[in-house]
Amino acid sequence: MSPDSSGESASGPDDALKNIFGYLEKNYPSETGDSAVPEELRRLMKEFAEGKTPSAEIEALCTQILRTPESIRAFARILGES
Amino acid sequence: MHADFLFQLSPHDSSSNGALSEEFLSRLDREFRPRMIACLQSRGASRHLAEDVVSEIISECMAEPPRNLLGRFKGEGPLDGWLLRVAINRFISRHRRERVLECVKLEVMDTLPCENPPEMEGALQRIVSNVLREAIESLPAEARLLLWLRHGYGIPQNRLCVCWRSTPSRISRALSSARDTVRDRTLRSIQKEEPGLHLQWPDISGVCAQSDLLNGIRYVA
Repeated sequence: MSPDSSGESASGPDDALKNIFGYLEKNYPSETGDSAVPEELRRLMKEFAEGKTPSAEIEALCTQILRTPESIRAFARILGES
Repeated sequence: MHADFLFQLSPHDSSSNGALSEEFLSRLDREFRPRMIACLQSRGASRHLAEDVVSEIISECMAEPPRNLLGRFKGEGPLDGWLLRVAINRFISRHRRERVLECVKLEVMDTLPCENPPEMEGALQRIVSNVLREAIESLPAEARLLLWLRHGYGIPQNRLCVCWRSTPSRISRALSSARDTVRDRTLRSIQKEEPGLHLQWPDISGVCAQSDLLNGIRYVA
């Protein structure tokens, strides 16, 4: 896991949730069929990562990102790289 | 031992309109009682406590509906394994409530003394996985994505603050609220679906942590 520069502890609720989401991530249904993340969505995710998405559009973008495991992973990767 | 064990029998007597079969109840008491007691003792229970918990369970198996414990069995995995799990969870609950025994076997979901532990573990993981997914899916999209990013992929909170153009305290509060909601809904669903389980939140996390599927690295692929 990346070092957490926010300074928060990695114990307590984080540990419990890490196990849970790790488990769910590994067991994410793979039959979505959407292995590729559309370029347009990738562009929107990059803008979101840079804090350039208008507040009113964040909810809709989150819904779009959550649609497939691949897009969540892609967004996490963008955040991890930037 | 297991091949001709009592759970090859149906608990219900087909000729008696849903009534519990006498043979089943008799073998439950004669054959399964000592097995459950031994199981609980191997988990650190005193003889007295083990007998108490097992008597309670057997008595509930013989109770009239809707109090009858067997009525809650959903057929996922073997019945004997399910009853052992109920017994272990009752023991854990007693242990927690009374705080009499030393903190010995809280990791009891590790393995269970049943002939078919993988099947039982699989059933438990399916139950836990389903209720967790439902609890998470019930959250608004922003809260859900926050949880995935923070806890599924380990994204630091300050990165999330940038995306949402928010402050650390607001992101913290949003995460905390989402976590509480997932925990409460998960526990409530389990209580409703599997009242015999008596799982606590650390048990849920433990079930997930012990999954064989977690052997690999689970950070962003």
